[in-house]
Amino acid sequence: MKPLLKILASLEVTIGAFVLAMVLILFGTIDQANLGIHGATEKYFYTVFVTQYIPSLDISVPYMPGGYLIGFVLLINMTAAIVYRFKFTTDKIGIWLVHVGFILLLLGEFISSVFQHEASLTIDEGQTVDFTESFRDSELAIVDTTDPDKDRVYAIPQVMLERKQQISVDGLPFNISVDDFMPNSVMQRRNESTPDFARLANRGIGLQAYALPIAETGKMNDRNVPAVIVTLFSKESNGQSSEVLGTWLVREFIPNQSVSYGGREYTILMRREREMLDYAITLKDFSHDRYLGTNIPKNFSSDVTVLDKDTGLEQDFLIYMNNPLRYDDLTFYQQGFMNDDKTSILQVVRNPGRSLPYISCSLMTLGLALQFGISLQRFSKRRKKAAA
Amino acid sequence: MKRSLFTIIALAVFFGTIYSNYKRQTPKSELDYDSFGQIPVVLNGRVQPLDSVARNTLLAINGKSTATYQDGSRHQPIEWLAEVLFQPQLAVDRPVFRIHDDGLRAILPHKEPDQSGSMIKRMLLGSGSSHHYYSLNEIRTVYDKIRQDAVEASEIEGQLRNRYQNAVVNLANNVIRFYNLTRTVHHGESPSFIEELTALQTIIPAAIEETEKQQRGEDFDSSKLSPMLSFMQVYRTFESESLFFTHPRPHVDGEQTWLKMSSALDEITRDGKPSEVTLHYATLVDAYRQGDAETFNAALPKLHEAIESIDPEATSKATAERLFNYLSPFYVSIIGYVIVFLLAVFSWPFGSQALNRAAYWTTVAVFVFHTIGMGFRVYIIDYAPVINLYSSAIYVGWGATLLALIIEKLFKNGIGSFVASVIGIASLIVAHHLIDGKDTLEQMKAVLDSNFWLTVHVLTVTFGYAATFFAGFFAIFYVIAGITTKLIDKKVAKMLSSVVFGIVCFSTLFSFFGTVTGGIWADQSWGRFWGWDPKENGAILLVLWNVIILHARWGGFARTRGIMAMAIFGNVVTSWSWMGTNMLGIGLHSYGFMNSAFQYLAGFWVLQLFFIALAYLPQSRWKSPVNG
Repeated sequence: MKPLLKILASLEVTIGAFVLAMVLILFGTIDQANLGIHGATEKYFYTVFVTQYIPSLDISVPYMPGGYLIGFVLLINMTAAIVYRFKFTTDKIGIWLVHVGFILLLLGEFISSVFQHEASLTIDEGQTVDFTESFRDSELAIVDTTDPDKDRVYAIPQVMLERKQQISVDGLPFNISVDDFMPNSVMQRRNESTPDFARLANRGIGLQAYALPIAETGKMNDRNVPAVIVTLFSKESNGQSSEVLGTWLVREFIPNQSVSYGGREYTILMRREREMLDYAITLKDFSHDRYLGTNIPKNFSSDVTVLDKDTGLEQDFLIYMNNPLRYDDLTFYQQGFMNDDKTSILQVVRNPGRSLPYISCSLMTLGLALQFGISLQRFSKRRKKAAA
Repeated sequence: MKRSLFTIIALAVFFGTIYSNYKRQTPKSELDYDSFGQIPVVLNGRVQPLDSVARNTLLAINGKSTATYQDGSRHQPIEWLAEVLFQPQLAVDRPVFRIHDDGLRAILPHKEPDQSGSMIKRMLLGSGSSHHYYSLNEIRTVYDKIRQDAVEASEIEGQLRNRYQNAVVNLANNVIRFYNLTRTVHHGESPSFIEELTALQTIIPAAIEETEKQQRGEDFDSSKLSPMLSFMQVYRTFESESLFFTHPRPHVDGEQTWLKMSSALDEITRDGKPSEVTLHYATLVDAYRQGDAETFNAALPKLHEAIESIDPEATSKATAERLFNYLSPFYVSIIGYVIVFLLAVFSWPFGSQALNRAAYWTTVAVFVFHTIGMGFRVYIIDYAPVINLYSSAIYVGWGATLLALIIEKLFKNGIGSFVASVIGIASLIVAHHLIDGKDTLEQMKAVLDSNFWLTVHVLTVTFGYAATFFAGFFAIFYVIAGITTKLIDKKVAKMLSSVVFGIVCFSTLFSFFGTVTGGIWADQSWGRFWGWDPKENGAILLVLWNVIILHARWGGFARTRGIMAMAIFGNVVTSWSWMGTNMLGIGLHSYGFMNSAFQYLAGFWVLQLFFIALAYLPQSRWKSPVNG
């Protein structure tokens, strides 16, 4: 065996990686109190290096290997060990199963980390919804409301807004220039003492109020409310300059603002980023049972109908705790409720690597049980021998 | 016979403890408190006997399992509850509210520490804390301020409150709870419950007649209506204030639909006469107030019968729970484990096989009793044995004892019994402190309500904790015995190291399988297998640490001493996974949040690190030969 391979396949690397993994997980857990689960997961686990941003130097310094790096090292280490170190004998079959299962587990978690997508679906009793909303990201939506029967929606996702560039959307007669983007904000009333930077907006709400950037939150029960300042100007330029429509402040939880241009009516608003579904979900009834005489929830359930837009097929489902609805490639589970038990909140998860943990964990459990059984047998044989 | 003498004595002492503890629970009184305590009611969403209502409430208010009255006499919880329910005029003077916070005591009337008792006793035990206990009447003088402060404090998140704020919120809650109890069976606004019922019965027919007239739009006599309306007025406030449900109703779709006393009284206006249950309760109230033990005791079986005829399951559960309270299996088990501890310790210097045997059989007896206790809990609430942090501590002690019995059966040297007793005592004491004035037989929140997964996931993962602790305590035994005695010869060292290694294998299997089933549960109910939740992370830490120990041994990096040190560190990892992650107060599993216990946990960790340091003392400091 070549020296490099020997190192790669060595137990020292295994133990080292496991110890680092423990340290990483410990830090990643404790920091959840500050960053929230999502924030800590991104910072510690779904990254090659854990970095610390140093404002004075304006660089991020890596100080700890992240989940991806440790996982990758373990993957190489296991594979090398299986190929070069393990002998394939019947009494080692348990060991084999455990390690092959572990490799699959690492791959599965990697796939989940990249492709797993979580969103939510908030629905009132009697309402029909055919989209999910992102937990964290918002979008700028420009809705063409000219046609009273049908709205046309142009949505600009948060990642594009974050770049603070000029955006040109096909179908809209004007361009959108993102002057400012605040990942999280609060609203303030505009008056004489308002600083100049907050006086950019010259149309709509922005004349009476302004948004102030605040620190982002990653907490579970808290959400960022981004604000954006956009200037709209016509695509067609007459000669040198194009016509400027105005500058708007747009944020969630403020009244919709309208813009007229070129004989068409538009509404401009911020909302949670949406993903359209190929089917529509109607909430027939939401129920919330409590234990007698208490506020302890016994069960929440949503009685829904799913209408497939393509086939026209209608199906009824009951979603309740520990019993989600799996439809298409999504899983809808009962997450919460609000509005005096008239609104149900479903969490929606897409995870293409869903079956991998099942396979890998079955392999590993089987392997461990086998190996443990073999050791136990050996132990009792030895005891019998010693007793004899 | 001689061989078994110690075994017989030890078992006799243990069974004697069970019996004397049971006997102690019944108050000495002419009133049949045993039967009274067995009456089923519904509180916290579950059927429970009045005895449990009494114990849990008193524990929350008083911090103790008995009430000490003004005259210094001690009373069982059920005696105290009977007075609160039936004769609150007396109960409001009982000093049962414990107030430890100095700031809170400063606004209450000043009380001198108790000066009774001998001088020597005071010097030894301090002046006692009788001046920390207040009656409702004493609190009432400043209750406006307390309520105001409590309202302000309750707007602050629990973790951010200071000591005074916590104490004041607590006290306000307890005062409300006490007051609600006084308004649960009878509102106390008429001296005799039975006379009130009789009066109701006479005015109702006329009143109903008038109501029907009113509904038909005819002329009606409002003077015949108003007496009934004034009763209903009283019952309506009484409804919202009463604490528990007294009247069973037939199950609807398998759901409990009990009524409060006030609703039952309200129904008289419809039915024209009170129900059986109401009548018997009324008899109890009047008999208690008149001190008529005979009538009181005669009404009890009738009340039981009336309830049983409607909800027989409630009766059998309440009976079981009352018995469970009287047996107090976990408290008695602590004493049992102490007996085992002593037997095991003394078996070594004397090299006594007889003591060793006695330790083993006492462990078996305590284990059986411990198991019976868990069986009671399972029967009473219909859930798997582990539903909260409290029951997990009970289960950890149980699991470790089970392992110890197996090890002891194999090696017969008393070490297994010894370790079982240490973990048994420790885990049951931890459990006792986790009660924290709450009903430990609580109903499961919807998200956790799945017996299948509770059994498969929670029981395995918690058994993994038990196994890791077991290995860790074995390792501590190795270190301490090795340094202080010559007990650890080559043979014992080999035995210990193979036990620790075997248990680590075992714990790897259980904690891994437990973690995986947790992932499957999460995937089944939330659509994702792994979410980096603190408790999930804690579980994976435990698996990783066990795996590291195994690989370190296979790679030859750690020999006996190293494995022992690593196994001790396993205690740190497990206690983090088990308790520490809950203290972060975040995530989906923060079902057992505690903020005060962190210092104890930190103390435990320091102690473990100290043992690890001891393990690496140079060989010359060890009395027993040591390798690696």
